[in-house]
Amino acid sequence: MRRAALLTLTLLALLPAAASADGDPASDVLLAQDAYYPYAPKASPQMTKALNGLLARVRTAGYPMKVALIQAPTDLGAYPNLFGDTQGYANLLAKEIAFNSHPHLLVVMPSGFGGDNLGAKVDSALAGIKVDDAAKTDGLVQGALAAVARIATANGHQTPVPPEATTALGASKASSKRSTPSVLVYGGPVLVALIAVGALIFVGRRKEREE
Amino acid sequence: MRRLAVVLLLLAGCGQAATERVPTIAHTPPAREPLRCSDAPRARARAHVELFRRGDIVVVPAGIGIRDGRRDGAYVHGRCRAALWTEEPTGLVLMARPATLGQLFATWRRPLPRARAWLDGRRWRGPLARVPLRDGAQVVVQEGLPLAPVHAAYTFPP
Repeated sequence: MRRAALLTLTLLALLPAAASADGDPASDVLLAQDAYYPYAPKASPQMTKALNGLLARVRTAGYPMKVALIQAPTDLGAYPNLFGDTQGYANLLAKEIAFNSHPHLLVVMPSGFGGDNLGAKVDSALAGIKVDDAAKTDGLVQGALAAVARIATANGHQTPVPPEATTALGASKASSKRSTPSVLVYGGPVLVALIAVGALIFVGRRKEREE
Repeated sequence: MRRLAVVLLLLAGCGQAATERVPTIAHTPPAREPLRCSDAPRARARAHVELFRRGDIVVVPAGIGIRDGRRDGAYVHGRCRAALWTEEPTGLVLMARPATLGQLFATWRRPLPRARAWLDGRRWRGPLARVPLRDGAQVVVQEGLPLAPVHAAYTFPP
């Protein structure tokens, strides 16, 4: 019995511990693209285009970055407890996506920023950047736009902050893909009623003529 | 004997701290088009599947069960889909009805590995092919050692 226990302990000593991995969607998505966007609400196409374009520019400039935008615990898969803990999640994600490199990683949540390998001046670069919580996902994207440009600049890659970083954002409805124009909601039934009344009048007059 | 055990325990701890393992991507077989598909079946169940080979991540690719898929970054979309499919490389499996791990690999058109499985954090003792992918299931499949930590639950997207 003791021998078995000793053997098990020896094996434990020899086996390297596997790091936690693969339970969060961002770690898989960031292998194929530079930004992870939340499930809901969807980022608006304009803001998505702005951030993708900025990340392509800093990559070309020699400072490739990976950005994870986390709007809700559902963006964290097996780690919902890390919602709000930006730096804790950044530490985990950095290990998960560091396969053959040590990427410059930025994590944005409604509560603020976290990151890894972003240079010594990261704190001053991020100073004053607020995440617009009311604007939901577009607020995260807006914060990321300012942060990415300023971090790249702080690390010697002069990058102007895109204009979308300071554009006034609407409420969360603005970034919802399913929002329906009010004209369709309220105007549709009125239009149907008008057509029905018109049809009744037309049929009535026709009958009168026939008689 | 007890002292030796204590020393070995300490060694075990030191070894893990000094050589914390950073997972790498094991070879991920790409998604293949399904043999059969129908027009835009609705997802009525979702499961999350994590695959590991010798402690390394095997990404469950986007596009399993989708014919003529349109790639958009890490995502694949398409109307002609099998009874189960993946639109993202996160292990999220969408299903027209609850399925099994065997059906996932059959749709992927890849052989099932000789591996151990966990369902909702509990070790699965039955045949690997029969691991149920019911709505909300969290499945971990591990081939070889070392073992990665097993996640017992997954927070599904809205």
